[in-house]
Amino acid sequence: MALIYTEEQTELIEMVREFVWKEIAPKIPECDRAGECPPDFFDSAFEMGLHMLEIPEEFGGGGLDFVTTAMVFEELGRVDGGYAQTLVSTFVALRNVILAGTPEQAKMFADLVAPGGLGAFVLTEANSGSDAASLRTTAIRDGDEYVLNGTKTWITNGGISKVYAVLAKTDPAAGTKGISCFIVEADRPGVSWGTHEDKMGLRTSNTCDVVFKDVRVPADHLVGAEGEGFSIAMRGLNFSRAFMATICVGIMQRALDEAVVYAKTRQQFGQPIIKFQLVQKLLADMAAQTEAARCLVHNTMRLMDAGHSVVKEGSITKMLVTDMLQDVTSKAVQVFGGNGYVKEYPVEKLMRDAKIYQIMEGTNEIQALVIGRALDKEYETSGGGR
Amino acid sequence: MKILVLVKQVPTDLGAVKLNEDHTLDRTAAGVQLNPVDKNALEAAVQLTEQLGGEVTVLSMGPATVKATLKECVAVGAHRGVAITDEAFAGSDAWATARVLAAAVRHLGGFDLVLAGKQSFDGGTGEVPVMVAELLDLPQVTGVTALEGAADALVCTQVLDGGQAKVQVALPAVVTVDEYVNTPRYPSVKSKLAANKASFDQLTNAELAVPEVGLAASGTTILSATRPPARQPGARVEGDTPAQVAENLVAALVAAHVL
Repeated sequence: MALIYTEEQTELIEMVREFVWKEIAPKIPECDRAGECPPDFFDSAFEMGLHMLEIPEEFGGGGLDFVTTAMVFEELGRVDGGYAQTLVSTFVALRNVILAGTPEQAKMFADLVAPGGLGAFVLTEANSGSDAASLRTTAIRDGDEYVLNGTKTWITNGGISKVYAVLAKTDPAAGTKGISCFIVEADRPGVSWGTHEDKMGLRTSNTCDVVFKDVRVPADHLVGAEGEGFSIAMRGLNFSRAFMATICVGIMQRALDEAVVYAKTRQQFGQPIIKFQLVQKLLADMAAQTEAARCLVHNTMRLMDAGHSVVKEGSITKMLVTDMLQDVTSKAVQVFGGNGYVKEYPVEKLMRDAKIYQIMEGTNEIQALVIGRALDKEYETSGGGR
Repeated sequence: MKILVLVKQVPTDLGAVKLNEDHTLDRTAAGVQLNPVDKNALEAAVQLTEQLGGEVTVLSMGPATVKATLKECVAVGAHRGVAITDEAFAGSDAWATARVLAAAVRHLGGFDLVLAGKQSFDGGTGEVPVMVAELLDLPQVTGVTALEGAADALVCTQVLDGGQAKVQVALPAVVTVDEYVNTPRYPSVKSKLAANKASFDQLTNAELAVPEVGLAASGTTILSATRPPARQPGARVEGDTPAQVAENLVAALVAAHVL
């Protein structure tokens, strides 16, 4: 327990913990096997407001700070990464609109998710992954409307959202400066979905293609100005990377919990395996990494609460925490031995869920580039502080 | 509709309750929670006011910690909470408790309906709401599994041996519910945070003026109290092959006169 919690935070975490272990945890193995969740799976989360924890109260959110929101999402991540991810992706999309749009646009988006709906941030395309600037979806002005055409892929919440924040080119000839951001309601004519991806892990999180075919949106659905889309996306990513890392801390904590409990019960050579120093070393490394990851996430959240943009810190957090996540979940399987490799025990799922976090929301290689560029810029002006 | 819900703070972990030498219970190490079936009573009250309008007040007698329980109630829809806290009430049995609660209901006044869980998780006598109804001279329906509300009457369903009965009761009345009556809601983050700011009225015997209270007013005396015997561990049936395990299991069942 690396953090100091206020009484209010403790009570909130306890409330969410009671709910999520009782109502959600028992359904996860079946959802993970099937690769999808029942349609009413998030209803109770909507009622509790978990999909809008950090959203200001004026837009129907919980009005929590980032630090407290992260604490709650660690708890959700402990039960299931995909469940937590679905909710995080919703408020991240809304937060992008709040940051870049007008209060009316924020309300437009929020009013669709507040009563019980999911949202999605729609950026990636088949030929535009790490190279986000190369996207091909277009939004062409036609009178008082924009007409969107294109196919987006790997969209978290793609098939289950009520509303999207979509990145499309208003000037196809221009590079990053030609990208703009639009609010698109999922029920507009011309919006359709591909099949839900049959993923290795994070199978409770919906991932699919979203197709826009002559989708018309009023001009007031343009968020920010034309050409601002890329910077909106980058700002949103700084923020969402830190939240992804908090889910990862939850998965790490779960891996540690499961491994320690198992090591205390599993008997070999006449004693519980936790009494063996080599097993202790595995567990000690897992505990150290989990604690360090939690502290790092917490500090980034504090920076965000203080209004910092966390370009470098968000990437550092995402890269380090998701790398440590691989190690911690793999070690959990190691502690379980052969039992860890079968679906009857809970840790193989954690290892499967973990991998995507090195890839999504910017691969860790892209994070290294972001950090490198930030250092280059930082030292240009500061000269190394001497 | 003005509804009062009687709620009790009970231990979370009955195993951690210690027996004092005078046969009273030391609950300090056991944690506290809102009595589970009281959540159903509160949910029923909140649903009735959502349908018919009105206000839900929760009332709880206990030590200063009952405020945490009242806060929990406000987070799931109670409009206000009242704590009855007075050292003089310590050691009250069901009768002494009911007298204080009845006095408080009268003192607060004006309720169309008093709801309660059918029994507590710790004492489990199921007597207190029944006694409160008698002391207030109100009609009562107990162990209700379904509730339909109207402005001046309630239709309550009770499960009987081999069937169920629907009972209409005129208001004001006392009704106790069981856990099948509804599924209590979870608090939302917003309501939970709002409940942190709630303040609660407090009543003591200075306001209620119940003549005899606490241990002295309790008609029952506990002569002895013991823990239930610890559960014996089960027997493990082993064998080298599944057939042998089955044979050993049958032999064990025969020896135990099960077969």
